[in-house]
Amino acid sequence: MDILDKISNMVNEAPVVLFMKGEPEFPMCGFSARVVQVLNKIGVEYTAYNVLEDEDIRQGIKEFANWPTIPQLYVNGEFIGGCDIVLEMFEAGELQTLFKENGVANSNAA
Amino acid sequence: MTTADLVKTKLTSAFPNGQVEVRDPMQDDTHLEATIVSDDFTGKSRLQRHRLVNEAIADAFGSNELHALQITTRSPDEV
Repeated sequence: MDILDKISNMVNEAPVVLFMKGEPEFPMCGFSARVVQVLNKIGVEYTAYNVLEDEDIRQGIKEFANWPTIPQLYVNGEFIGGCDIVLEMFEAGELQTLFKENGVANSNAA
Repeated sequence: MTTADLVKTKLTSAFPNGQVEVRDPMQDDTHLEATIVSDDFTGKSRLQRHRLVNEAIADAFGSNELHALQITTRSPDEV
């Protein structure tokens, strides 16, 4: 299985998938940390992958999403964006709406 | 030329009718911020807008000079 197939499986395995540097409890980059904070604040369940553990994934996701940086957020297999987009959407209330529309489990459901 | 200058040059040529501002708040020429106001963004989603910006500066990331660019995009009616 080539790396792009592998990534395709990964992003479709869970409703919310985050590729980040480090782990949610120990982010290794400020931008990844901010996205984790937002997801935790909204209270959605997500699967996080630490790209620092796998160089093939780290480079593969850039090709897969045609996006040069990390973090990368996927919802129901669709690429949403990186830190800037996630933060803007959160501040505009659009992220919360996106999760609701996609039926994403939310432990802080309003 | 600093990375900030390079990014500003590329963005200005990609968005000639827009306003481009590039900031270097940490003064490390590595973690930069760019705000672009352009009619090219009107009607486009955030993702589409960011992809346009990414294309404009694609080789700056590839060559590893630019590690982080915080991007803000606005169409003229959003300013």
